[in-house]
Amino acid sequence: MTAESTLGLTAAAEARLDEYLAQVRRALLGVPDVNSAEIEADIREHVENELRGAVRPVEQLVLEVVLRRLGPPTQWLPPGRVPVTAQVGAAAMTFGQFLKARFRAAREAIWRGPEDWRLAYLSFGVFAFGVIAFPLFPLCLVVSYFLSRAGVAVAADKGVTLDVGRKWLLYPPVVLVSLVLTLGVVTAPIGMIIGTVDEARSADAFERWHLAGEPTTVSSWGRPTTMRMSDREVRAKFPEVRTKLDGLLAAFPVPPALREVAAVGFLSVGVLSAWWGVLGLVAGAVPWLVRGLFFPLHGVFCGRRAGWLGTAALVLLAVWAAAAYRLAEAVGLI
Amino acid sequence: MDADFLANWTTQMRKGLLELCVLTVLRHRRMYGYDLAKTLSVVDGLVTGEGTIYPILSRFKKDGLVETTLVESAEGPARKYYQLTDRGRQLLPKMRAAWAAVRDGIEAVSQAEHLR
Repeated sequence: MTAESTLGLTAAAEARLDEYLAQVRRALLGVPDVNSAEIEADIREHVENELRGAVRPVEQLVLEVVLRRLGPPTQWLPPGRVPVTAQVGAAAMTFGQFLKARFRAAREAIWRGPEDWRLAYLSFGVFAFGVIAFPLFPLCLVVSYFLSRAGVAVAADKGVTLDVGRKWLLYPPVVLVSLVLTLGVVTAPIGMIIGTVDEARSADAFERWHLAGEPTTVSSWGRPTTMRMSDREVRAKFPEVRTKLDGLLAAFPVPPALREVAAVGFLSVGVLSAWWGVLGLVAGAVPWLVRGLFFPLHGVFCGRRAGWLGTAALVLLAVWAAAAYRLAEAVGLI
Repeated sequence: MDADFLANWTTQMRKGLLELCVLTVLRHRRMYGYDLAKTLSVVDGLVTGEGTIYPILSRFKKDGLVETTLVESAEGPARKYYQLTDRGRQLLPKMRAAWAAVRDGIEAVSQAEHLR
């Protein structure tokens, strides 16, 4: 957690402001003729204006003076209005009443703003609709993601620190899309490795079959068929056949049973170091791209560290490439 | 007991009059919410907390008496300015007339009691 908030408050002052705003929300909960989200935004603007010339970070004591001038939240109700919490008692407030009040607040925010709250409710609404109407979920996820990003950006632009409630509204699509992107980044090289291993096995099976004289299978009546013999059968019937891959695997200084594992491990090191090398250098060169893609979850992403990761991975790749060259040379591939 | 009653009565009376003052200040020009709060807070006895005007503005907006306009600001994010709507403009003289009648009535009662 950083010591300063977007308003330039200390952590203690920020917590105090959040508490004050929570009191405002509680006081205005269920009051139909005001828009509590808009009022909250007005208060934040007011505080921001009051603290414009203050020394940063702003201490809690300085903030207290501003809040005292603003007045206690309980006084903010329109004439004759009693807050819901006072009407039914905080403990006695039923879940239905709470939901009704929240629904009213959402409707108000969607129709009247302010924009950061409007976007928060819209985003959550589209996301929830996608969950209910599941075939539409991918489309809803994309729409709610962009609405969330816009909501977070507007709040940041206004210097508003998102409270827990708004995070719950804005973050689900952002977290989900970021998770998918992260999984994509992490699993892409694994996919490459699996694909390469699969391709090498297929090529090796074909080469072995070819070297064995392209044998076909024999039916249960002993008649030859036109079907190609399986790799397992070729290996069993023609153990003397040696492929290029066999020669390559034999170069690994491990017991024969572990050669394939060692080869896959060796290939993984190469692919992963190449992947992270390129990724690290790109992320290091354009950190704003990473911050932009994963905002606000990776808003503090450090480009220099990514650069170091990329450099280290490329050094490892160079060592790997040298070893791979010597290996290929040893088995006569080059 | 008396102090509580007085405080409550004063608060209710002040809130009603503050609504009239908010509309009056907006009669000739649009204003930034913060400036409006500051303008009214310097009037003795009118505002207990500067924030009191925000729920009033929110309610006026919902009632269609004021509307807001976002205006770009060189000092930071766009500012929300409040201005009277036609409805607010039509209602204001009637509210002022009602207030003048109440004020004159109170004055008349006080003077009559004084002369007795």
